[in-house]
Amino acid sequence: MSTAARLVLPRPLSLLAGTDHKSLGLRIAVTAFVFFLAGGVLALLMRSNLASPTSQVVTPNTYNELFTMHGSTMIYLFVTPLALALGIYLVPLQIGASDIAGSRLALLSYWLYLGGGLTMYLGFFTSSGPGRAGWTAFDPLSNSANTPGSGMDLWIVGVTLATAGSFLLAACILATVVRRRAPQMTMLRMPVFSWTMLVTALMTVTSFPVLCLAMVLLFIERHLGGVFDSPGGPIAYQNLFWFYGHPVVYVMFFPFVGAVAEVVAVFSGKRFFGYRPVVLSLLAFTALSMSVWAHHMFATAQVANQYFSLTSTALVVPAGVEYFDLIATMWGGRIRLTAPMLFALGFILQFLIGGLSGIFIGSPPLDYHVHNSYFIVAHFHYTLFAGSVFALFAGVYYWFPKVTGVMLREGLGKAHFLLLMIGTSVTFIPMFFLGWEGLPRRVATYPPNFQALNIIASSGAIVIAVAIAVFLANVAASLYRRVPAGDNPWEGHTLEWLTTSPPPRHNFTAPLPTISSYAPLLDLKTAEMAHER
Amino acid sequence: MSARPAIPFGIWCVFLAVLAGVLAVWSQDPLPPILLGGASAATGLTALAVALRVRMGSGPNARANREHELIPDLSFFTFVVAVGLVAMAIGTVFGFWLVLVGIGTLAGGLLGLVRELYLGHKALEHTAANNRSRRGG
Repeated sequence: MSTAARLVLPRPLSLLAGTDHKSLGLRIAVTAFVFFLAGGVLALLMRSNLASPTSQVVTPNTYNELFTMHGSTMIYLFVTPLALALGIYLVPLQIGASDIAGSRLALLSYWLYLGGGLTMYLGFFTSSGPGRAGWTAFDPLSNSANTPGSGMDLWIVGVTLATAGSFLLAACILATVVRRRAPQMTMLRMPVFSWTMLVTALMTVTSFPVLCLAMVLLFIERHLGGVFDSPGGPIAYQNLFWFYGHPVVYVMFFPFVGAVAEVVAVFSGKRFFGYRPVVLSLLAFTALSMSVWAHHMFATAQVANQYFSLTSTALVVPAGVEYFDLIATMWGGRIRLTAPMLFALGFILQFLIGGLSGIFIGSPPLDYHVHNSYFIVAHFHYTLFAGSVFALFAGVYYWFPKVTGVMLREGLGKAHFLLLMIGTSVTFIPMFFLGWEGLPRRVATYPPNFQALNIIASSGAIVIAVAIAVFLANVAASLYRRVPAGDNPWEGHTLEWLTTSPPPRHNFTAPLPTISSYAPLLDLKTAEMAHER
Repeated sequence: MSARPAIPFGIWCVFLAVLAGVLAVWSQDPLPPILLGGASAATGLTALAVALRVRMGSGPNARANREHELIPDLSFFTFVVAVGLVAMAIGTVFGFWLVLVGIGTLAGGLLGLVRELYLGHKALEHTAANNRSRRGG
C-alpha cells in the first residue's frame, strides 16, 4: 500500500549525513539537476551571443569561460553523477538487496562530488575568472602561461574531487551487485538496467582514476612545470584525458539505455527480447568503448588511426544488437504511448542520428574535414542531449511514482516531450550543416554567411528552456496536488515494483517471491493467470 | 559457492587484453597500450578478488544483507571527513593554512568514524547476545 499521504521534507541532519541509498540517490539526482539548470543558463548566454555574427553580449574571454563551464557542468556535474545516482537508488531494489554496499563510502562520494562542483564554480569569484580552456583543458592551452590565475586551478581541483566522488559511487554499485543480490538473484537473472549499471561501473572504475592522474599532473605542470613541456607532452596529456574522456560518454549513455529497455518492455507488455545477447553486447560494447579514445585525436597524426578507426566503427555491432532487441521487444506488443514510452521512442530515434554521425566521423579522412567544427558539436549533443537526456526523462517519468508515491501529470509530460523534440531538432540539426560548411566550434563571432542557421539554433535553445520549465511545473504540480501512485502503477516487471511507493528504509518488508528470471513480477503474474485458468 | 559473479570481470579482462595486444602491434606510442593493458590488469585483479571472496562465502547471502544493521541511519563523521578532504584540496590553491585546517578536520572525522564503527559493533553484539539468551530461556 502506498505511504505517500503527504509530502514529508527531510530533516536537515539527514540531508547532511543520511546513509539510506534511496535518500542518497535522490540527493545526488537533485544536485545534478540544479547543476543542469546552471549549465543551461550558460548555454542560453552562449546562444544569445551567437544569434548575431558580431554580437558582444559577452566578451570573447567570457565566452571561453561560458563554453568551458557549460561543458564541464554537463559532463562532470550533471549527466555522469545522475547516471550513477540512478544506480545508487535502483540497483539495490532491483536485485533484492536491503541497502547499497558501502553506504558511508557512497555518502562520502556525494560530498566530494558536490564539493568539487562548488569548487569549480568558485572560479567565477576570482579575479581571473573560472576555467576557460574547454572542458578538456588541453595542454599547453591550460598551462600557467596561457591560462593564468587561480580560477583554472580551482577548476582542476574541482574536476578531481567530482571525478573521485563518481569513482567511489561506481565502486559501491559494483560491490552491491557482487555481494548484495538476493539469494535466488543470479547474475543472469538481474534486470537489464542493473546490467547496464554494472558495465557502467566497470568503465568508471577503470577509466576515472586516469583523469584524476591527468588533473594532478596538470596541476603540477602549472605550478612546477616539467610534466607536459616535452615535445610529446601535449599528446601524452590528450591520451590520458581521452582514456577517460571516451568511456565517460558511455557512462553517460548506458544507464539511460537500461532505463529505456525497462520502459520499452513494460509499455509493450512483453518480456525484453534477447536478454542474453544484450548482456553479451553490453560487455562487448563497454570493453570496445575503452579502446576507441584516440578517435578524438585523429587530427594530431600522432596516434594509430587505423586501429582506432577500426574499433570505433566496430561499435556499430553491439549497438545494432541493442537496437534490434529494443525494436523486437516492441514488435507485436501491446504498446502504451505514455510519457515514459514517448521519451523512450524519442531516444531510439534521436540517438540513432547522433550515433550514425559518430560512425561517419570514426573515419579519419571524414573526421579531418569536420574536426573541431560544429559538426562535432551537433554529433555529441545529439547523442548526449537528444539521446541520453531523452532516455533520462523516460526513466524519470517511469520511476517518479516509485520514488515519490505520486504520479506525474501525463498531459504535461506529453507537452514536455513534444517541446523538447522540437527544441532539440531546431537547435542541433542546423549545427550539422554549420560544421559541414566550416564553422569552427568555440568561437564567439563568425562570418555573416553563418547567421541564418545560428539564429535557428538559438531559437531552438529557447524552446528547450520552455520544455524544461514545463517539466519543472509538472513536478511542482504533481507534488502539490498528489495523485497516489500505488505500488505498481505501470505493471512493472522487476522487483522494485513489489515494494511500497516510496520504498521503506530497508526496501522490502515482505519476503521476496521466487526469482526465476530477470522479470520476476511478470513471471508471478503469468503464474497467477495460469493458475486461475 | 559458484564464482559466477567474477565472470563479467573475467570477460572484460580478456577482451581488454586482446585489444591492448592488437594496439601494441599497431601503435608507435607506448602510452596507449600501457593504458589499455593497465585497465585489463586492473579488471583481472578485480575478477580474482571477486572469485576469491565468493569462494570464501562472502557472496550474496542472508548475512551480507544483514550488514545494514551495522550502518547507522546517520553518519555525521562521514560528512566531516568529506569536508576535510575538500578543504585540503582547495587549500592547494588558497594556501597551506587551509590544507592544515583540512587535515585537522579529516583527523577529527576519521576518529569519529572509528567511534561510530565501534559503537555499531557493540550494539550488534548486544542484540545478538539478547537474542541468544531469549532463545535459550
